[in-house]
Amino acid sequence: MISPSSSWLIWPIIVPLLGAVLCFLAGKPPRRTGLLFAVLTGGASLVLGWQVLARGIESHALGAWRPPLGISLRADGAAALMVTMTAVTGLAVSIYSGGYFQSRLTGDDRDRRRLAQEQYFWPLWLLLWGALNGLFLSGDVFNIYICLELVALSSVGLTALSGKPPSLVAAMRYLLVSLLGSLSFLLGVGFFYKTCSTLELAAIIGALAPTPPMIMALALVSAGLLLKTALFPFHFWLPPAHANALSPVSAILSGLVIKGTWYLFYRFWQEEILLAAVGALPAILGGGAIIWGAFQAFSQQRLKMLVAYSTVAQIGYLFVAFPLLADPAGMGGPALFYFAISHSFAKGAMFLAAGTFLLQMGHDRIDDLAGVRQILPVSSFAFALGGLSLMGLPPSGGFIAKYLYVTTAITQGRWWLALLVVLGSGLTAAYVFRAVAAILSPRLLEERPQLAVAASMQWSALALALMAMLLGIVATLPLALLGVK
Amino acid sequence: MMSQFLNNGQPGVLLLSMVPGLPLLVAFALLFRATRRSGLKLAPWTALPALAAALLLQPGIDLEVAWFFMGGRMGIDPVGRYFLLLAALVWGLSAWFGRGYLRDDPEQHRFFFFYLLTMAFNFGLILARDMLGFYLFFGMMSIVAYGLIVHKRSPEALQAGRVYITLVMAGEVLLFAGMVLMASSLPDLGLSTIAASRTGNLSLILLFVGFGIKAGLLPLHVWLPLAHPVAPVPASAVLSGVMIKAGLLGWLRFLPMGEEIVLPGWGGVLIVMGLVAAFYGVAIGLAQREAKTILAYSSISQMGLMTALVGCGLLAPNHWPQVIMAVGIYALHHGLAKGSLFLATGLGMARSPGGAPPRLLLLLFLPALALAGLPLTSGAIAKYAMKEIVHALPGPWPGILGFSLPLTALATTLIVCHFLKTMATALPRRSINTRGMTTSWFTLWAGVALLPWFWPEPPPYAAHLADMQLLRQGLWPILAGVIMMAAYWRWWPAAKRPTVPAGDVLWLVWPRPTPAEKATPQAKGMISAEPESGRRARQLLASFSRRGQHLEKRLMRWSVAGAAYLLLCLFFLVMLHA
Amino acid sequence: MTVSPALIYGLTGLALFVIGLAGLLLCPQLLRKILAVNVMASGVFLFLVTIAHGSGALIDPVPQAMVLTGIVVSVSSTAAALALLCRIRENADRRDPSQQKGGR
Repeated sequence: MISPSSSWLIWPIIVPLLGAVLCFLAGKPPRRTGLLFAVLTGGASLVLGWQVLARGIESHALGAWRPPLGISLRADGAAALMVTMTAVTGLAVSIYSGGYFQSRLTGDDRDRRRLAQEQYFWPLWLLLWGALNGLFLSGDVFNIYICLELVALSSVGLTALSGKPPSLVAAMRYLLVSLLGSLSFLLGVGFFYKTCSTLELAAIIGALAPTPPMIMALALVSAGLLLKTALFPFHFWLPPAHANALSPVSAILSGLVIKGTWYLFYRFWQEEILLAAVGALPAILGGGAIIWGAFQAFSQQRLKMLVAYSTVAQIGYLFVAFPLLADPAGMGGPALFYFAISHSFAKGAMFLAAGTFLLQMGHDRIDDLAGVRQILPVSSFAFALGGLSLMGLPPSGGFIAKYLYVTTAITQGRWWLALLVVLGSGLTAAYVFRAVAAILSPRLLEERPQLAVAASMQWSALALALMAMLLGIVATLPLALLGVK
Repeated sequence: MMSQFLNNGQPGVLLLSMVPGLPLLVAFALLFRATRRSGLKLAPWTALPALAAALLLQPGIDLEVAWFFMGGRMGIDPVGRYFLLLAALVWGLSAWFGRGYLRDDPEQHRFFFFYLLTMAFNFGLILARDMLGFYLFFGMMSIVAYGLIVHKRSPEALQAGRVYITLVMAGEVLLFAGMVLMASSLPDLGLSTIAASRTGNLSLILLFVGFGIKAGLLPLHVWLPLAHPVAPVPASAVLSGVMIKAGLLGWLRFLPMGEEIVLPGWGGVLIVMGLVAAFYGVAIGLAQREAKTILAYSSISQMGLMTALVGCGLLAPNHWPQVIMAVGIYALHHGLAKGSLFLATGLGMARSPGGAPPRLLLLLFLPALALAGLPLTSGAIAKYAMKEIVHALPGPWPGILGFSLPLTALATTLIVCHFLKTMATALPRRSINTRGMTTSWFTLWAGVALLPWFWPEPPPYAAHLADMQLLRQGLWPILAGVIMMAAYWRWWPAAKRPTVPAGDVLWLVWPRPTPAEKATPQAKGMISAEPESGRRARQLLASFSRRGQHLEKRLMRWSVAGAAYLLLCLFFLVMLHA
Repeated sequence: MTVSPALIYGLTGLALFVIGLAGLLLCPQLLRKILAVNVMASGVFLFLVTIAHGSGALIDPVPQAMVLTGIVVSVSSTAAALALLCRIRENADRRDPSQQKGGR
């Protein structure tokens, strides 16, 4: 059954779920099992990406039940790209976590807490990974709802893992918002089923029409997804949740989880009929997010808060280009996806690097981080590289994305969009410089403290940042994968 | 035979990819302790592929790299060849020089890491045959060069670095905007397509100014005199000798050329701007006290002449190929001469106390006066190439330029005399162990001396080197300049000679650290203390951000977010229904 | 105009959803918010059941399966929310025993 020629569509979902169960059953902190399954999941996802690139769309009916009755899995270029992105970020985060939970803090109490954290981290993280892959590959809206709930519950669990009061409060808020979003989505699914009598995503999208129940369904589904993606002004739950979580969790939440709901939104909204009617709305909210998020990021005092608000701003970019999807040359979609994956890598690297600073210095106040690069040169470099990609400087993936945005916007005559993207880059540069200047500042530390950070943590952050750069240099490969339709 | 082998497909492609590839590889070797020593040893030799490519490869070889950066193209064209030859010589010899110069620097591997990266990107931009590749290499070269400028980490170096990186970022934005504007109207992004196309004025202005920052265009030249004195000597040599030429190459690649005048008016503007820069650079340079700053201002002045040359090309479109050649020749000549002058500042040629200036100083006259167009030097060839084009210009331009070009030569003589005097009278800083440095410097010097006689591809003007009339024309501005300078020194009291702070017009807009702030201990090694205006701006920003955070707290309320959710649902309903 | 039972159920479901939403947005206490989410979920389930009956005499099993799964999801997420709430209360009590309101 497992051979290179047969479809690997189900393995990126099944392997992590199996791993999650095994990790949960293991008595002691399941670092080895967790890492093993992370590598297996990553490998299976990469094989799937390669298969889609080589052979075109893969689809699979679970249990040989065909739709409309059965649940179908389907991987086109976009889905395969998201699965591959999750694999790359996920692998880096997993390796980082291997070192993260190993690093001993002072005091027995903290050590015990670390062990407990690790015990729950691996099952939750693998569950989240499997659910995300399911979200990307599923062709059935109710199945998507289940995956949404799984993603939400495991993310909330991960957020609460640090056990500190702010993170618990943030996790609670996150959970309630997620529930509101998914219930809204489920109600929308009900309306869809009422009109179409099917749960198959492709069939529903094909039948989109301006009838009252359909409109109701679309409104509920879209509002729910926007809430869960934390598009401005729904970002109110994101910064505390992302910034107060453990650092590998922050990278997962910012790099991967929000991309899941964004991807679903894209699936519904790539249709002309929606874009023509209200395509300007995501763009307007996205523009607000770019400006407001960057402004808030700039005024933060803590590094992880700055990075979290930067996510708020970057989510704006994911939506601002929705009007471009109506591009006759078809460059709107690639622009969006390119942005999504390079943001995933860059932001993941930045959170991972910020985590090493936090662990080493015991705090992440930006103004007091000066000199950290002498102790942690590799992760400082990783943070700066991630920042370069966010700013959209060449040769990063962020540059390619921005280039595609602006050229498409200009050919379509949407000058305001081109200007907004360039302005956004300037704002991004402002807050990235603020952080990078502190980290790279040449002040000498009075004494060299002991290194508290495992080498694997620094290097995995750098690897992810280099992936963001590599995305720019080998831009044709992801674009080719996206072309599989 | 060798050249035939290389131009035959695969080997040529391999050589071409080694040009930027080898320095990159060695740069990464410097990152690891195990390979650091051998990496440092290899550093100067990594320019050899570029030298080989410049000398042996025939123009026209083109390499498609489909996977690279949305499809890249690399190759050599005639003008690129001049730039590559120049870059290979100056980068390679300066690296050799730097091995000796930085012998005792514990951070020399860091310097060479940035040095090799910058070098690789510089080679890459010369070879790039498509728009994005050029932009990519240009941008990366500019950013990485920051590491060269701030290498010493002194407050002055950091200040210069801040000015530099600010201008680089502004330039990046301008270039990006100009390029996407251009790209949206082009069928493909090859440089040959760009050369044949016509784009809107807006994108051309953006590109012109964006590249102008690198080329030291007035008034964006301010980073040059700040960066050169603080960078280590080999870095200043490549900065002035090669890197600022990248801006010039950018103009050649992206400004439109062709059979007709595409941009009426632009040519004149460029010529005037160039001439103004040529004299302005000399005027401010004469008011400097530091040898490397003087050379930086001389570079601004020389780049002004090259700007004027590009302007001539826009006025006389049918002569564009000759203009490109002339710019290439001028860049090659200036790069070699300026590179050797910069390296000389690191040799400590000052007079030993009570003694005579060292004999090496006499050798400096050659590259110095070559800059002024001394007959029988590369300078004479460059000036001759320039004159050829001036004759072909329409309207009053031949007259104007015929009058002012000899004056620029005279001005150049003044500034190089000032430089030589500064070199000879400067106090010896420390006894310098010049092992390894003298040889590389002398090689570069020999390059300047031999260039006119072994021109890589003899253009017709090389034959005119010994023309009597040209000798006369070339000699009088130099003689006049030397006499004027001698008179100035003799009769103008040293205490009354004017001084201008390096960076001149920058201080009209940039907050300037007061001497007190410079001297405080915490300024050492830190980014220097903030001036008053910076503090006020920060206070304003702080109050602004407090207000923003207050508003954000409101947005964080459940009721506000919930209201937004309901509004959004309603909005979708209404809009979709309509 | 006759009002079919399906319509009544459907509208009741939607009304429950809106009531729950109001509770979630307006009640400051976390426990009430959790309960409000449960009310919303019940509303959605009621609506789904109505759909199953909507098309005619035959009862469509798919929405019913959706409701069953949905109830499982709802129970587990409520459990998670309650556990989280307990942890927040514990923390709040440990920090300041006099203030028993819990985090918002």
